[in-house]
Amino acid sequence: MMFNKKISAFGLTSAIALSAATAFAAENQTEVVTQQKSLLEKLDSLNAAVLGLKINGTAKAGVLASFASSDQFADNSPTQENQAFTDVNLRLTARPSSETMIDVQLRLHKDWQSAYDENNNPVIGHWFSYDGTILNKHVDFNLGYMRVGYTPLTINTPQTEVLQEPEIFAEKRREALAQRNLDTTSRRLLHGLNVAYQSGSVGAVDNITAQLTGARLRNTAKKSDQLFFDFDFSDRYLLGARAGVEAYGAHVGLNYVNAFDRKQTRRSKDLDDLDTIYYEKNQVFSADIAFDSKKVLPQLPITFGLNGEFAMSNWKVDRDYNYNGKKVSYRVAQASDASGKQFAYVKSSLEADPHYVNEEYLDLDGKSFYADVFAKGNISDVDFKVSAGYFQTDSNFWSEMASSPVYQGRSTILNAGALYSDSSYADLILGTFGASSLENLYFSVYNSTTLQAGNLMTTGKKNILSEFGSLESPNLFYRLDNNYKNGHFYRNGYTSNIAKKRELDPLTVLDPSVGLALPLGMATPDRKGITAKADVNWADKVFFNARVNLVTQGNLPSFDAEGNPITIENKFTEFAVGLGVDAGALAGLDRKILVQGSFSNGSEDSYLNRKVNRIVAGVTADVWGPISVLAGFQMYEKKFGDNGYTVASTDENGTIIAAAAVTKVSEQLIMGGVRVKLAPISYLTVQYGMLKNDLDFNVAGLTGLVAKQISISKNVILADVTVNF
Amino acid sequence: MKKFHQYMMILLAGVLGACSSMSVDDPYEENFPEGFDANVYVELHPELRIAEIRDYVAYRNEVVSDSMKKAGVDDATLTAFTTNDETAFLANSVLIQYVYTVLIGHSAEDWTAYLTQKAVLAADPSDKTAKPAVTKVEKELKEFNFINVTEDQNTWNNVPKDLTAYSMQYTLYGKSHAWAYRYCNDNEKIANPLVPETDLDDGKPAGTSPTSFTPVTYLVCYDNVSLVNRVIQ
Repeated sequence: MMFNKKISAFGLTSAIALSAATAFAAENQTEVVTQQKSLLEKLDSLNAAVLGLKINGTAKAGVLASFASSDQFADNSPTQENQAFTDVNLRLTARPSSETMIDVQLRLHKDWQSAYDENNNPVIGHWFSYDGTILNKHVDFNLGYMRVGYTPLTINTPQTEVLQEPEIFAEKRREALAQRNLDTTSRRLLHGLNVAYQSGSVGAVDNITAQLTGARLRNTAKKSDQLFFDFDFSDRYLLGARAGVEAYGAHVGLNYVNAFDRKQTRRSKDLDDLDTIYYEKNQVFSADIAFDSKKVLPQLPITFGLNGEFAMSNWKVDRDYNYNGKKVSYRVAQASDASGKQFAYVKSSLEADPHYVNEEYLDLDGKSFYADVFAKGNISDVDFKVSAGYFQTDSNFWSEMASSPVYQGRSTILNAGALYSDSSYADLILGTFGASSLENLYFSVYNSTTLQAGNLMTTGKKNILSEFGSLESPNLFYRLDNNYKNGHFYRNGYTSNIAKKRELDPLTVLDPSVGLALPLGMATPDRKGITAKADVNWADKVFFNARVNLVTQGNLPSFDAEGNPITIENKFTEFAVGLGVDAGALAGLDRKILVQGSFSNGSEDSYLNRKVNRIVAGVTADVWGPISVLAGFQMYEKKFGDNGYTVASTDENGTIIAAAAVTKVSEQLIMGGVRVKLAPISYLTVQYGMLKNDLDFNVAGLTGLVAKQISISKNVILADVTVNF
Repeated sequence: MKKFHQYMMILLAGVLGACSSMSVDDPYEENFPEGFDANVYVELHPELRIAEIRDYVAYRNEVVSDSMKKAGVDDATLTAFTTNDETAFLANSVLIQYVYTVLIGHSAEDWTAYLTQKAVLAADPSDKTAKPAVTKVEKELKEFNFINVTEDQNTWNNVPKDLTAYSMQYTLYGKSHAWAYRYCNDNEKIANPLVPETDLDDGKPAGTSPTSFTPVTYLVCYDNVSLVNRVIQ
């Protein structure tokens, strides 16, 4: 404990000394604020080194009411959905020594509506890790949950980028991500062991790095009988390793990633005759280089450099199934010829030959590379970074750990219980392709609900909702209590799931709100082209961003006039510009009045001729004292060409029940609200939002296509008190 | 010197590796005499092909009747259906003549005898000699009837040929029973001796007199000029 005290004492004295020094040196108020902030951060980091147990977290009490209206709602449809909750996130950190830390994060969630159903709420632990920096700070390790990123072609998470996203939206997005344990970085959420070594300066070499990562991955090869209680553990693994050397501002690295299913793992039952289980193995080996001139030419106002990577991938699929066919078998038989002379011959016959088969199904190799050059610098208060590069990825390239985006969208988050008058089309379109992407980006619902007959899936017939097929069970209302079983449920557009190639949802790749040109990030197969970026920051007063992507997909599967399969070329053009101005800082006021806006546009020249537009605007302003006003507007439109994108639903016999071609989706979101600072890092927030989602689609009518529309408006009121501690 | 020794060992290992043959012996070539061709072999012994076709018809008819049973057709209906199909088949005299004489290889005299006996039977359905004679031939013919198929001559030609089965028959039976496996070349036709009478298959049902059988140890070719089998020297 003495050590502890010493550290705190040292921290305090040095902080006071520094703040005194900087206060005198400070020329304007802004700088003092910045300095103080950095001092607080320093204090925090000193505090973080304190041994023992520490509890941090956030407590939030709030309400969310969503009122939906639509001409397509049925008369008996519920239109209002309320959430009222207390949500406490606890972060327990324990430091047995100054080098290592145990991090456990817990969530307690009480829905006010279910307060009487079940008054005991379970605590959900959602983060467990043991992390540290050991061996004289040469080795970092993580055990348990961790976020790991290698390179854009090996381990990486593609993120949705909305330029100049107003704070009111950005905060909502972070919150929705956090409910899934995700963040906005490009590192992947994994669970396992990660060890990274850094040599530090060794002679002429600045740093030698080596990293080893092992993780268990989610596996769904065996999950086709997903029941509520499912004790099949994952048998999919990741092994990653990389090493690199840095010297004279240059970096050379080698990266290897291997994600594989353990063969012959399946659900906890034998292989059925109709089952075929696939096991995927994906290996990526890459070499990356980087150079930054700052190290060798520090005197220049502009630094320049390059980043590049070359990767080779192998994607191999094995499968097992029960073979039920026949085999040719031979045996000696006797016959006589026309003259009656007898002879022996070999008779071949087909015989049933049921046996278990484990075979190689696919084995594909691919290559990918990119090279970016950049220049950055600071010239008279203008910070800038511009980069441009070329990339090329084969059709057969596959890097699973770099491909799954965290945003997949397409869920219905608010008013999910609404009923539609023309339900076959509404279910089809909202269920497959149509749910509002803005709703998915910025809203999430977290619920803690008592498990009872209504929501507990079970094989016990006494618990089911209905009796005699479709009648409502008379037991339904007697079973409100369920022996303190309480489950946590999400409605959330984000996922930490890493899809295997065969599991990849084709609609995720196709939905432009996930990404038009590069839905799976830099590792998107069958793409080549140019990307360019520019970011400018003038003294934290004016911000400018620009993005351009010119991308070609060379081998898009299609059909010629006779219906023969061919491949065609599809060119994507994407650009985006954003501008942010802190009017407060510009006018020399001591408060922030940040006005932001951006426009982005994307299109493709063949296939569906998809076109997307996004307009973003927002204000974040400190109005008076503790009160800030936050507002945001976003409009997003996606078009699917003249013919639209066809979705169809089938019954259990494969007969099409409903088919529709979605031609256009228009979405709008307006949000505005007030944030009041109650105490340091404690806020009261009251917000209003309006979501509008119009889906235009065609269905087949008696005399040709009939244009239809689903138009849904949602008015959302949110209020909460958030206390950080 | 130590390094040199190491390099020499590596070199030696390399030489040994390079000299060892990596080729895998072909069991097909080892088991069969030089120039064996299953296509030629079955041409020399059409009875193998006939047996194959007969088995194929039986198998296919079984599949048809099984699938009809699965579809819910009862036994009586199925039997009636089969009988009707067979009657129609036997009524097509051009086709059954082809089956009997060309496909199976009976003589034209046998066919005439059948027609005669059939006429006798038609005149007197209780004829004691004609009935078994006609039944015997028709039983043989019915084995070539594809149920639920309208046959023509190509139907039987299209039955897939199993070259493996012919080849296996040669190693298991034909070789030891002095079956010719190829045509004799021009020299062999003049010079080579005929296969000894005692070694020729007596045509008795296999296994009826096993003690009298001595497997031949030489190879046999077929002389297509003199139409005899000759010993390959």
